[in-house]
Amino acid sequence: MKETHIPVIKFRRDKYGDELMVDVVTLDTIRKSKGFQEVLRQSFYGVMLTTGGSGEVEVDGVSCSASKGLVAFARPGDVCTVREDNGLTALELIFERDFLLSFFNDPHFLDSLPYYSHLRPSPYLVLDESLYNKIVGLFVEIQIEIANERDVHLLRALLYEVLVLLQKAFPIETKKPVNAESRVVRFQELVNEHFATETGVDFYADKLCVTPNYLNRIVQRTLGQTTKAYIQSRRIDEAKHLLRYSAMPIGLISDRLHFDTPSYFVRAFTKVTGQTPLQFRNCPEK
Amino acid sequence: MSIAVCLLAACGGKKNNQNPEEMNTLTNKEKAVALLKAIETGDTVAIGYVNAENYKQHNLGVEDGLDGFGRALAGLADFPEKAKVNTVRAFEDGDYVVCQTDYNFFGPKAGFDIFRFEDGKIVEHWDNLMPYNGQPNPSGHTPFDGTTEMKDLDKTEANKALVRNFVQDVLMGQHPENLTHYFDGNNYIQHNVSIADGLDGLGAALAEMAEQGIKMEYFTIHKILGSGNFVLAVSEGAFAGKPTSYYDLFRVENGKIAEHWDVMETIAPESEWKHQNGKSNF
Repeated sequence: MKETHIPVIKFRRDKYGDELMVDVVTLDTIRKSKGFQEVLRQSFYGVMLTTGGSGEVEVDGVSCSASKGLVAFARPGDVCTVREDNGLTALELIFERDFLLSFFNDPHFLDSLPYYSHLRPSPYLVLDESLYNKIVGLFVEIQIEIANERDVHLLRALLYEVLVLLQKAFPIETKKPVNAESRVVRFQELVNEHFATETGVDFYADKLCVTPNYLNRIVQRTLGQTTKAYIQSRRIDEAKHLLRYSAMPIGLISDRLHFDTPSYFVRAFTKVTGQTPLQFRNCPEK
Repeated sequence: MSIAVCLLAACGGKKNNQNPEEMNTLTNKEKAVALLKAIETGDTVAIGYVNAENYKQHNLGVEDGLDGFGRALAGLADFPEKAKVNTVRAFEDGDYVVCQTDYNFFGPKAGFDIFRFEDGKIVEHWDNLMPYNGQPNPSGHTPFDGTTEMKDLDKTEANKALVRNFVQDVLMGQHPENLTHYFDGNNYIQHNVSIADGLDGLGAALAEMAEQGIKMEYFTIHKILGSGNFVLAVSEGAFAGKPTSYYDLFRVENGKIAEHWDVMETIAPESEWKHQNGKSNF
């Protein structure tokens, strides 16, 4: 029986007593944690490094066969699941956005990482042996530091090293966003936070202190689609997750995502995906 | 007649059983291995390798002196299983001999023993023992199997220094950032009963312990003993908050740590000590 919603797994900041927003855990412990379901969203960032076994994992709607050396990147809100498991083992480095932002003076650092970008081609990366060993070593260093001194500055530096090494290995170049582009990144963040309730361009333009026309121009230029279409596609993506991973009734999904009526939702969904919501739910592979 | 009674008789019999020729031809290592084997066989000759007038015991549960050793063995007579002793690795470092042994001695155990010799006789003994249920670890290894080939005798000092630094940097947490320098990539054969091979196996074990709130802490190194590619580190710390004695044996290959066996023992509270020699005083 599917749940009527996709459960969210939260970060346990108090696991080690004082607040700590970074951790390295095994796939097994994630599975044993409170509220775990086979399909879930993390409320935090994750770098999952497969250490053994094999299986098929899915992050953000993209599935991938996993074996030793595969890294999967999960952003807050990404739907993650292990679809097939043949003794899969993994270490996951998890952290909250604030852990980096409370120190770095670059609020766009995480968004500038290609594997956490909204434009990422894939949430996966396969590591060669030497990088695998390096990353495992850093994970263990983080654990030893957590077990001993728990110095947040050192932990931040280690996390930073992991993220940057993976960025170098990730197969796309990212430019440091220029002004307009960083506005678009902020726009994407805002859409991520508000897409379910705010569907109008004005709301986002207002939040970004720009005119709707200007926002349209920079979004069109950077993302190749209109602001409205981008917001709509984010809503449809969410609808896909809910259709696929939950048993939430279609009328409720329509309400949840603030479509005026269920029939309008069905039309909008069909237009974008070529399938009705019900067809998609029954046969999501297409 | 039971083994224990034999051995006790030997203790009481002073030097009668010694064969002076054998005393001179056997190496300290051979004597140490023979003494441990005597627990199984009741070989009274081996008892003669111990200095009867001066034998300092560091096992906290056994009384000082050769008589204490004898009394401990006497308890074996009442134990239903026959004692078995199979020393799988042994090496000498100066006056010290280190033995790694697969025991059935009041139940199946894994153990390390260290003996110190003076003039060809054993004058001091330290050990670390843990019960072992015979189950292989997640990578299929036991606390005993693996490489036994001793080599690189010219690298003893370098390998001892490497292990000392590794314990300080990584296990004691002084410089965890040096971790990967001590290993050849992910190649690390692990014999700890609950940890899998590789740095990733170590990472998974650390993550699980953290999840359960278990801390493995190393505070001090008491002794580093080695011969060629094998180095034993005797350390003290706390496991899950309990005072713990760690004996870690490493095999070093080309300047990197390649294999690891260990025995952890909770240090008994002082009220239960049978002497004041200290478990880890060297």
